[in-house]
Amino acid sequence: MSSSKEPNGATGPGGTRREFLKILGATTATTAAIGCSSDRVERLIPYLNHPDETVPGVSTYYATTCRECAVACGLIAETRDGRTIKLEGNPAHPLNRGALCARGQAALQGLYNPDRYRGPMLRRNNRLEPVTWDQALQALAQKLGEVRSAGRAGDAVFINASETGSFPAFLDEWLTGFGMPTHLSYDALADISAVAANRQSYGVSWPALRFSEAKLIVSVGADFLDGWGATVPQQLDFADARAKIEGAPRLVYIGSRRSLTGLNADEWIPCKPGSELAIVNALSGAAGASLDQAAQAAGVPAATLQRLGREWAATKPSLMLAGVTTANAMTVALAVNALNQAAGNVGVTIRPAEAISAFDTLSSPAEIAEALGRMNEGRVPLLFVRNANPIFTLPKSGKFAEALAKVAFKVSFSSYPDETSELCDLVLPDHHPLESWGDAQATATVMSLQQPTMDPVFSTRATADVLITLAKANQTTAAQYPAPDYRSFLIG
Amino acid sequence: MTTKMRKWAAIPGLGALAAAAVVLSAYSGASSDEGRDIEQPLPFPHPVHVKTLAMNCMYCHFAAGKSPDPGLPAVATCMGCHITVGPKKPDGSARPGVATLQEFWKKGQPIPWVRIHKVPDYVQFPHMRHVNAGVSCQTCHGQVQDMQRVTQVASLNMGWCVQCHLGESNPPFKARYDCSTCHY
Repeated sequence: MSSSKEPNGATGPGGTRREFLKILGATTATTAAIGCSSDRVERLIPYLNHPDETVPGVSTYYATTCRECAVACGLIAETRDGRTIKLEGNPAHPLNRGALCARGQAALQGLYNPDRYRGPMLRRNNRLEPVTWDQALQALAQKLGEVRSAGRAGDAVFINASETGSFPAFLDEWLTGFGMPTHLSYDALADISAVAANRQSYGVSWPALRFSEAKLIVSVGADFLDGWGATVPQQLDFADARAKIEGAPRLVYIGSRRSLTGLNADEWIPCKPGSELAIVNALSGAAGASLDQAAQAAGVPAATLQRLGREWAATKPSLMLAGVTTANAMTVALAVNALNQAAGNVGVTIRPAEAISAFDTLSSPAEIAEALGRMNEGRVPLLFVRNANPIFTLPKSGKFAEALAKVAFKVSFSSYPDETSELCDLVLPDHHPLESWGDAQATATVMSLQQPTMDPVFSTRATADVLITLAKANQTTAAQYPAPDYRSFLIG
Repeated sequence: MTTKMRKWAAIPGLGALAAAAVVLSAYSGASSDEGRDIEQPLPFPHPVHVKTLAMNCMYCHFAAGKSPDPGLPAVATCMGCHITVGPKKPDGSARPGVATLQEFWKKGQPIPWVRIHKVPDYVQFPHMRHVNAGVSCQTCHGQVQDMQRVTQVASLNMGWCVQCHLGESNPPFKARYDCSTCHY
């Protein structure tokens, strides 16, 4: 193409240049005309009624509780012009002392998530369609009535996110009032093996860990710097421990993957996946366990394990943590607990008396499996799911989606469309925690209150308020619910 | 042919001149909205409220002394009086705008006022700092109490701001004028 023009120097390039300049001139003129015009109209929209105690452009700060995980740290939410814009840890909260993890910081992303349900949805013609709250509640009340008159309420399942505070007991009371079994408490983030082992060894689900009291910390796959257990209080205490000028503990990490904790450790002992139990048994001198065998199984030099064994025996107080995710996770956790007990760490670096309450309500995997089995047999007439997404978080081999399909009527309280809610028949979107009243039990002696930091973004409703409305409409349960809403119920 | 080409070649030069003019005008104030006559959704006569009824500016613009934002009165603030002060005076003459105001209130709609004063987004103008330093509203907004319809009086451009920060206004004020005083 261009080769035909190139020899003709007089017209070819001249014409191109002319065209270029024409375009440039026209563009400049247009840009000048549009860009410099001052006829843009910007509107100032005032309030209809000004909210009390607010000043435009000046922030209001609300103390509330983070509900991003079960630990429930204290929050200070900054709200300006009716919108919450920033979250920070509450410095006066004994659990998180002003710190807040990345997940807590990101709670606002959930609050303003553009995909949030705008209001209740009901499945019609195999599609979730928007309905009014009256229609949605009527649909649920009718279904509840049908299930009860068929005498099948005892087979209903309610899966709620594991949480502490007043809500779990409130929910169970409501379920019992309707003749349904108590709820299942589900947490995809919790280390269920460690929780089960702790309950067996110490009688509490999660003892407080005092890194700052230890001289040696050995983590067997427990990634406590990246969300394992009670994240913020543990990391704060670890930071205190390492900030010591004298006597700061040494951290050894045993694990097949070099996690965040592994990267921050003084020594990383890479072992083959699944060989952790052999190492722990060798360290504890359990019957029939030898260092050489463990070293071979783990692919670790025997000298390394020997040195670690000597260090563990000579250093007191110490702290060993187990957070492996292999099939024998609970056995590893129990072996580690036994090692800690033998070393005299319980009550020093591991304090069951100051236990974290976060995982107290957590259901065991067996309870979840039992419900899953009943769902698979088609015996569950009604299922509720709140703040949990089992289809996404349970292993695919659990076949939760297939089991869910066999449930006659599924109700989700999810605020966002997720894998589970999209397969439900009725969606009653809950408020975001930053729009809700509530409370949480951080430890046996710390109660955290939760208040809304702004008005709800969409036409959502607190699940507790939905339950109260349903109970009031029911003759047998109405008398039990004199409070108009959950806030009044909490205040008492 | 060559003359034609030369003629077109002048365009980038003109473009550069225009760009220079734009940059200079930002300092001179030539590009500001001074004196632009703007029709609002309803006529709000400042003189009646400020002079006849002796209302303070901060009765309606209540946040000017405590916030970067001066505060725009909520429709409810207007209705505080205009629930009883209706569209007709006792002598039968009209109070223009009151009917429209009451209409907005009845429909539950805020009044979509047209913004008149605005500094660019990269400039901070905290009202409370100025008000609390004793700068009168009129210093920047002009004699609003005399305006039947509010227009922009000052250029609100950087040169104009700096002049006052240098202490060249009457009465004189002096304030810091390094970049980060306003551009933060």
